[in-house]
Parts: sequence; C-alpha cells; structure tokens
Amino acid sequence: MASVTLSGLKKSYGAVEVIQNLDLEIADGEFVVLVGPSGCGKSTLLRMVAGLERISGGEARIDDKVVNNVAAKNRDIAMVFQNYALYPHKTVRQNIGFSLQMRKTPKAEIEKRVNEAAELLALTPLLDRTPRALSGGQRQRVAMGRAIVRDPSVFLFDEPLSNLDAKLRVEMRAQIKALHRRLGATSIYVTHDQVEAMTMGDKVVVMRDGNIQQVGRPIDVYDRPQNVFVAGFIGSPSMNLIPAKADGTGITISGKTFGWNGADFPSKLPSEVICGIRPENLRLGSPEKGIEGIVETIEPMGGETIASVSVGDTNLTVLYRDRRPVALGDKVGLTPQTDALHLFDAQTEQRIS
Amino acid sequence: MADTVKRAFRDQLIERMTPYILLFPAIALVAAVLGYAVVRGVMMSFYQIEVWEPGQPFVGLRNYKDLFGSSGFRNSLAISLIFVGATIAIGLVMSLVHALVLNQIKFARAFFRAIALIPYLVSGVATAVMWRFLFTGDNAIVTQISGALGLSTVSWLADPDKALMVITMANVWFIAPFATLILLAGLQTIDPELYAAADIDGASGFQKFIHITIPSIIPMLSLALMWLSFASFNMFDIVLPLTGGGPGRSTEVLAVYMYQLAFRDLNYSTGAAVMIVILVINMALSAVFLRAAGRAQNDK
Amino acid sequence: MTNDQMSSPLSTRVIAWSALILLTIWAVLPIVWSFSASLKTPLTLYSEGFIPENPTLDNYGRVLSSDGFAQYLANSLYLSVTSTVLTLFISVLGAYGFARYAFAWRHILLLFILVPRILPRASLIIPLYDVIAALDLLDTYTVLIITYTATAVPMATWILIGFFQAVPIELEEAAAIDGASIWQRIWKVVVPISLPGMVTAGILSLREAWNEFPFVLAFTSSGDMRTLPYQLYAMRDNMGLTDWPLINAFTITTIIPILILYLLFERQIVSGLTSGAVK
Repeated sequence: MASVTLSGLKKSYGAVEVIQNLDLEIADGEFVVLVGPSGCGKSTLLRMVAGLERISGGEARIDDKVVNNVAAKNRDIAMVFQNYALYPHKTVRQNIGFSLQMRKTPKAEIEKRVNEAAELLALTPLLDRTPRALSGGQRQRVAMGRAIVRDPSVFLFDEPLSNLDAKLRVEMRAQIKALHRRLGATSIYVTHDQVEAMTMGDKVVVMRDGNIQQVGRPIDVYDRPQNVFVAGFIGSPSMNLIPAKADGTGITISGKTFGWNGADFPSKLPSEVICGIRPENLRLGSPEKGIEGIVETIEPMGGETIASVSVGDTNLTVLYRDRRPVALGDKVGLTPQTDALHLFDAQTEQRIS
Repeated sequence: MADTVKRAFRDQLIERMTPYILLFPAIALVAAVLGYAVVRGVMMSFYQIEVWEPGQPFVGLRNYKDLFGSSGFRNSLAISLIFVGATIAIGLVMSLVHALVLNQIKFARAFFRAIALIPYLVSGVATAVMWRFLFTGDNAIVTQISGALGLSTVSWLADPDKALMVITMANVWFIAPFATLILLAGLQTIDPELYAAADIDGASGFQKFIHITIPSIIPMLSLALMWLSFASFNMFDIVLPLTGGGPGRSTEVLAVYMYQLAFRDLNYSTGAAVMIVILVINMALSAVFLRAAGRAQNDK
Repeated sequence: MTNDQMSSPLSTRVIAWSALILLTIWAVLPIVWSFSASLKTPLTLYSEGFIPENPTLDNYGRVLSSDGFAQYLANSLYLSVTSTVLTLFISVLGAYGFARYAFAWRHILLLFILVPRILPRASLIIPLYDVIAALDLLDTYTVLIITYTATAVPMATWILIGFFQAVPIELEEAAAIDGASIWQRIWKVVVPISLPGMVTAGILSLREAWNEFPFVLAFTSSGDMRTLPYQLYAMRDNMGLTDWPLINAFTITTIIPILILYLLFERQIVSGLTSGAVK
C-alpha cells in the first residue's frame, strides 16, 4: 500500500502544455477518480504515474520515493487498460500470471496466486481459454485479475468500463468497488463519465485543460461546485447556468425577480452573476408566476420526466417526478428553489459564497 | 536511495539507447554489404583496375567513355531496353488480367490464387532450365509444334530474334506472378459500393473499369511497374543459364554483359561502370514511379 | 459481397473463366512438362505426351544417388536455414525499432528498403569480390550467409514493420507494467502476436537463400561448396548430350521443398505479402 504525491507536475509535447503545474495528494488506500472531458489531460496524468509517459517537470512520488525516472516495471503498480490489453496468444491463466513470470516468481506460487485471483473474479472455469473466446465482461475481469494477482501498491484504471454495455457497466462498477473495499489498495481511476466518478470515488478530481478544477468527496463536489465548469460537468442532467442580476433582496432572472426567502446569501454580490439551478430545483407552474417559457421537448423516463423549456434565447432543463399534464408548446412559468441556487461571479466564473 | 537513483539512471539510459541498439544490426549489415558495394562500385568505375597488374591509376570518366563507345555495351543496352519494355508491356497486361479475374471469381478462388503465385517460388536457374527444355533441340515441344504448324523447325534458341522472345517470355512467367499479387491486393481494397453506385448511375462494365478500377489501383499499378522493371533490368539468373547471352550476343542483357565483362574478360572497372549505369537507370525509374504513386495518393 | 447479389452476365463470366484457365495453364505448364519429362526415359522423352505411358521414378533415384548430391542438398539446407534464422533475428529488432521508434526516419527506411531492390544482385559481386578474397572468405559458408542475410533483411524488415505496427501499443504498455523488459516485450508479446508475419518473412528469406545463384556462382569455386541451383546450372552447362529426364528430375527436386512450404502457409504468405505491399 502506498500514497501518491504529485507536486508541480508538468507535461508538454513540444510547445503544447497538456498538464500545467499540477498538485495532487492521494492517501494510502484511497480510491480517487480523475474525471473530465476528453483532452483534459486525465489519461496523460495517469500514464505519467504509471511510467508510460515521461514527466516534463515537477515530481511524482509513490510513498517517499521519487519515481520520475523509474521505469514502469519498477514502480510496483498495476494498470487496467481501456481495451484490456490482454495478450491474444496467451490463455487467461498465462495472461494473469505473466507479470509474476516476469518477476521470476516460483511456478507453484504463480499457480496459487493465479487461482486465488481467478476465484475472486469468478474466472476459474475460463482459465484455459484465450481472450478471443471471452465476452467483453469476462475480458474485463481478466484484466482486473492481471492487476490484482501481483498485489501492487497502486492500481491504475484507464477508462476500464467504457467498452462495456450499460448494464454490464453498472455491474462492474459495483464489482470494482467491492474489490477495492476488500483489497484496500490505493487506486486511481480515470473516466469521462461523471456517473462513474460520483458512484465510485472516495475522492473526485475534476480536470479541464490540464488543470485541476476541484478536488473533494463526490457529494461535496456535487453540492458545492467551485466554478461554472464543475457545476456544468457534474450531475446529470446538467445544471442550468443562466446569467442573472442579484442583490441583497433577491435575484432577477430573465426579468423576473425572486426574493431570497430566508436563504442566506453573502451581502457583497457582484452585479453580474451566473446562476446555477439543478433541473430538480426548478418548479413548473403557470406562466404568470415564474420565468416565462415554452415547453420544447418532453422526455418521460418513467419515474421522472425531463422537459426542456425555451426562455428567451436559452433553454432550461426541468426535472419533475409527478405526472403533469404538460404538453409541447405549452406556456409555463418556472420557479427556482432559492435556497438551492448556486451563484458564480460572471467575470471569474468562480463560486460566490 | 542511492541504489534507486542508480537504477533510475540505468533505466533512462537503456530507454534512450534502445532504438539505436535495435536498428544497429539491420542497418549495419545492409550498409556493410550493400552500401559498401555501391560506394566501392562507384570508386572502381573511376579507376583502372587490372587483375595481374599492380597499381590502380585514377582514370576519371574514361571507363564510362570506353563503355559508351563500345559496340558490346550499346548492343546490351538496346537488348535490355527491348527485354524490359516487352516484359513490362506483356507482364503488366497479363498480371492485370490475372488479378482482375481472380478478384472476379467466387468459385475456388483460393485455389487459383495459390497456383498463380507458384512461378514466384521457383529459382531463376530452375526456370531457365525448364524453359530451355521447352525450346532446345530439334525435338523440343515448341519446335515440334511449330513444325507441325508448317513453320520453321529451327530451335528457337538458335534464332537471335526468337531467343530474345524466349528469355522475355521466361522472364514474364517468372516475375509477373508477384505483380499479380500486388494488383490483386489493390483490387481488394476497392469498396464494392463504388461499383454498386456506378451500376445505378448506368455505367457499363468497361466504364467502371476506366473510372473506378484503374484510378483506385494507381499506387498498386505503379508498384507493380516498379517490380517488373527492376526485376527485369537486374535479371541475371534466368538469362545466363537459359542462353548464356547467345546466340551471338542476341540476348546479352546488361546484367549478363556486366558479369561477362568482369568475370570472363576480367575487366572489373568497366564492369563496375555498367553496375553504376544500371543503378542510375533504376534510380531514375523509381523516382518517376514514386512520384506517380505519390501524386495519385495526393489526388485522393 | 454475398452470393445472393446479381451475378455478372454470362458472357462476362465465360470470358473471365477462359482467361483464368489460360493463365493458370501458363503458370503451371513449364513445371508440368518438366515433371512429366522427369518420369520418362531418354527414349520416350519426346514420343510421349503429357502423361507418360510407363512412368518411372528412376530419374529421381539417379538424382539422389548422383555424385555430391547429398553435399549440395546439405549446403543448400544449411545456408537457407542459418541465413533465415539470422535474417529473422535481425529483422525483428530492426522492424521493431522502425515501427515503434524511428518513424521519423521514414526516408532512411525508404532507402533501406528501396536500394536493395534496385541494386542488381549480380552487380554486387563485382565490388565485393576482391574484398572477400582479401578477407580470405572465398569458398566459405560465412560469406554466403552474410550476403544472403544482408539481401534478405530489408524485405523481411519491411514485412514485419507492417505486422508490428498492428500490435496495439497498450499490449506493450501492459507488459511493461507487468515487469517485462523491452527484450521480453519483443520476443514474448510482439513476436508471438505477429506469427503470420514471421512465417511470411521466414519463408521468403528461405526462398531467397534456397534459390540464390549469383553469389554462390561468384564466391565459391570448390565443388564441395555448390548449392542445388549452382549444380543445376553446372549440369545443364557441361553435358555434351543433354540427359533431359535427369535434369528435369533435378529441377523438380529443387522446387518441391519450397513448394510444400508455400502450400502449407499459402494463406499467411499471400496476406503477409499483400499487407506489406498495400502500405
């Protein structure tokens, strides 16, 4: 088991900086999820920890050891790849045992540990097949087996579930979590899927353009996004972000003013703000009562319904759980729950609190 | 800690050196044998090298001057040009037709494709011997057939013009199969939907060939042309055992002329000059073909 | 394309099949005629058609028991196998280097592949001859192995580059994390996955060495060093009254081993060659 410390980490390809001066502390045994849109540098960061990308500047430490120039094989890490990277010419048994074989582990010991790992992942009946003969979910489990058999100090996951279908993904999410609880190994997990980030991480790191936007427990990131980007990225359907004017008495959105109604807001507010409202915090009502708009799309999901309402030249998303007789083209009024608003400075896009 | 640092340093060093270590044996070997041969060949062609006489005076371009002045060389150059030109013309048509029909048929395609490549596996010497057997002597099958048809009963290999035809045909037989394979590879990359679209547009079979097939395989055509022309210009293995350059000098292509010059007449310097001439011709040809192929690629 | 699609008109198919049959006959005719002659006696050589009336294997017996045949066969086998093994070893390293690291060196690669193709093999013997003589390497296996390997490496490298590039880089990264050194990655991950490429490159190198003629002609003079093609050349050269059944049997004998290898691996070789050619 080990902690991972990144300080002032940089990565550049020629003049292009893909990671800029990044600091991150990962405690022993923690499950950290790196999340962000594609091209945000999360995979590059992971590969730098793995030793697959050269570190251009700064320092990466595993426990107390600086690993900048240590080859991947000497870092005592294991990695699960997006397309599993199973050796097609080797059986499942050989795939899982390969790393032990490379480290000259005695045969009997390899046998024992491969069997244990297979048992844990329900792969025992598949041990003598080749990857070609396995389903996507089974391949994924073999990739996991290959990682755990060595009992490494850090696990790295690079979008390991993105090639699975939706149902299997949910299942594997739970399995990986359970495995982590059982092994307690430090894990870094990269994904672009914020649902995975929310459900799996002890800690979520939201990244964008090579920078960390916010680090925290999933629920904290969800409840108190630090800036407009995080607010829009975390949560599904995404948060509505609308320009607004605010002062001590209330907030004005699209010409309608709503009083604070006891919600405590800082006394000092910039005149121009961006107001964030989660879709579940908007109420549908009659047009004269709220922000006036026209229903453009309705997506009934069964338990809940998502409607998109056009207001001026923007669209607001509303989520409601009751069955309402709302039809396309209806004129409606939207009322925000003022105690659940997120306010951001329109200039800096940072949270106001 | 010091140990870790040392190991990290070693890891780094290995990582940086790896590409060079990997490429070294291949490049060194090829440079030492082929690269050296070219450089030495160029040098030799500027000196007067006599086997039994010491001293190798620098003579500049005299070897080339002698060469272009000699009737033997001019004869060989002409014969080579006919040999290569005829091989390309016949070989390209045959391999294109062969590739097209192999691509067309559905029944037993793998079988016919396997047979098509067989001549490529036979050695040049064996090819020469088999073709010699077809043509040599009064009783050879071709001589008999030509007699039965009321034509000349003289062995083809005894007639200068016909002997040139025989080595050309043997050469086509030997090298066209590889061109067929190249063209077949090109044909198989053409999207069948293109033909479907052309059918709907009302194109005839011939129009489809002109407007879809040929433009799609221009890079492969140029590769096939390159193969046919280099292999023919360099052809030695078939000609020496089949005719030895005869009758007279009627089939003495450049490669055979060069060999005879160096190893029969022991005139190494002029032989080296012939080598350089062949090399220059081939380089010019490859520049033309590569440019054509590159242009076709850019057009896409 | 499925068979359910409309097939081409009958006339087209007739033309296509006629062309195919003619071309196929053209490709096998010299070999079949030679094989047929190898089963005849000098007396029946020209009087019988393609199918001998009393086929005999006598000629093959005479080939196998002829003076020096065992030596020539051993020479051919030894030279082919050693130069192929060496070629594969060197080409695997080179192809890996080019495929993974040196793609910026495309122009060198092109030179590396192209120059050996446009150099007439027969011409190499002129500049090389006296160096080899000076090194006292004439009439040795060493010089033949070196020159065979040097001429086979570019083509083998070219074929392997295509296959190595197709190996997903993640596999190697996974292996690196699993603790494999670069050496182990090449031989335990990349090479086993590229087996069809190895087969293609190997058989082509074997073919090159097995069929080679100019080098053995120029660099050896002792009878003990002859390979099968050289002996075949010598046979057709120095017999006053040509014993065609014997020579044809010898010819067929030299073709058979490489033909068997080819037929066993035809699929790999064709796809290996075409995938190299397409790029």
